[in-house]
Amino acid sequence: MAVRARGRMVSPASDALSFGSGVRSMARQLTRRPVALAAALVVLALMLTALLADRLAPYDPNAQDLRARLAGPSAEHWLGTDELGRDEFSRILWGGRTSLVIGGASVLLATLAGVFLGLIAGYFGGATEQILLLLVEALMAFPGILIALAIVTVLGSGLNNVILAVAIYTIPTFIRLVRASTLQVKTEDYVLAAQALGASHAWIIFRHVLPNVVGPVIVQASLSAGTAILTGASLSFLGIGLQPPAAEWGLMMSTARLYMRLSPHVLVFPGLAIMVTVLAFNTLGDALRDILDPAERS
Amino acid sequence: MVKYVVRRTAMVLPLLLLVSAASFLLLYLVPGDPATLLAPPDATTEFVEELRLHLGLDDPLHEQYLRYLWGLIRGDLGRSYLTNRSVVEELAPRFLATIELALASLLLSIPIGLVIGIGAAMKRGSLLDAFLMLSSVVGLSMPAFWLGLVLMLVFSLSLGWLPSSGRGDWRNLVLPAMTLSTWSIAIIGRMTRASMLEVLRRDYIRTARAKGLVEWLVLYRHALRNALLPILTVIGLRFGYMLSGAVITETVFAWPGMGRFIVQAIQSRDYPNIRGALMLLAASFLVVNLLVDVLCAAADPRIRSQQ
Repeated sequence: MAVRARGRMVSPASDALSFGSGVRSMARQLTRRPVALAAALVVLALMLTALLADRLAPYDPNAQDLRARLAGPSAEHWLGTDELGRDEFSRILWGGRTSLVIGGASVLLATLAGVFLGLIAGYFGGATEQILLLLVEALMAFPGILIALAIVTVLGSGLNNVILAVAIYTIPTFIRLVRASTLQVKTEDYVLAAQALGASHAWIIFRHVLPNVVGPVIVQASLSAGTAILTGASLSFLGIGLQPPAAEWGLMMSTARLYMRLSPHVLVFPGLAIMVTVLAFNTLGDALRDILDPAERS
Repeated sequence: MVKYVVRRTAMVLPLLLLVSAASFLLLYLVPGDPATLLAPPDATTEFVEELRLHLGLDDPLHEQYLRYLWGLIRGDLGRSYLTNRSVVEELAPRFLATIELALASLLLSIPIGLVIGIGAAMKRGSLLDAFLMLSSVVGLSMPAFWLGLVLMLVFSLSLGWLPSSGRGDWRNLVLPAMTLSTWSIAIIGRMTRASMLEVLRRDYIRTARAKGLVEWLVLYRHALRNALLPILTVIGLRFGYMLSGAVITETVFAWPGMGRFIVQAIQSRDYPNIRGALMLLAASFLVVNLLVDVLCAAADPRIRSQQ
């Protein structure tokens, strides 16, 4: 069957690196690529601002000032105000926290579940693998946003359910990736040697297989975080993710639709915020993949 | 070849069965009673009871599912709770609108994506390559709803060149198609570049150049043809997603297609409509993928013989 991917996908690692040296060399090579380094710094900066949103924001994100509705950027309100006179800059800072929480938590959940299931499918094979692969195929027959939409319908809107929904549609990508890497690692001599020495399955999986599939997983996590943030914002934009008065980028743009003609700033700034964030994660993921893939490097 | 097609087609059926069961179960689990939702606000309890009986909502889960499946086999997707029209009738015009939009986007994205990818691969490492690849990552990172709204703001609300929403003649198609194709252009461009680079370092390319063949013939006859399979796969995948994944674009431009249909169905809890739409989307996605796989196998005998 042809290669199929959800969002952006990584190919399994062909070269086996030990976990510690692999991650260290990834980090070292990152510092040698200016674009990648910039992306990593932007991601870091975004994380810091998200963490410190409550201290950095000049205003309460929900404080209304009806005399200053839809004001353009000024010294007082750097990015202007929205239709209720709330400070756009403060709302974008708080929205960043929400977006990074959605991206981070959903990808973390998906990674944990996907790595676990992928290892089991790849290592043990058999009926378990067949059933898992069928489920993966079925989930991948729908675009992620539709699956997330259906799940949020069942569970109801709200931050936790959005995270769960995004996580569920991200899992198949990780299962596929980890299974493929595991199949490769499984036939390596050191795994056969460990088996010959009588090591338990759990020991082999955690000591020998897992460290060798971590690299591609990190790359995929970075790419998936970008997609997850986009999906989270899309759900809110459609009106089924976070609900008003939450400061969330997708939600902000959904309201901005009504006012964008006379006050384009309410549309432009949250959009730029999403784009920069997703761009940083995507660029970082691309750079990490190039570092991991020796064929690209040559 | 026939064997490959049969084997590959046989894989679609269990998936469709699984999708039908999953979508049925998922909607069964949704909290809230459809009968109460459907009945007019001032309906009596007896009315709601009768409605529930009529819709078969009190039957055991497996009976409801089997009834649904039997209908599905006969091409009967039930009736919409909301309009009481047959789901097939409701779906058909929406599906056509979506296909129209998807084809337009594909028409836009294939040539542009190919040119970007080939150009970048030819000038690998140059400023042009860096610019094209940066643009494609930006394209991938752009939220569709933002791009759509910005395009609408500029070309429709400010300049007044194009209509801002709805379906009609070709002018209605321009902005949604542009929005929808941004992702595809970026993906096709990147895949083309990667695939071309992979092929360009092969020995037969060096041979072709060494024998003095002009560069565009080397590119066209030797490189592109061999690089085409992964590109074809990505295009097929994008088409499959466009058929179902244009939710955002359709919402922004009020395009009366499948994406908006399913969001509306979900919001009004019109279960037969949701199920019907999900089945149609899954089926079309799987069929598109099947076609791509068969095309790839037709083009490359190595795939046919693979297990």
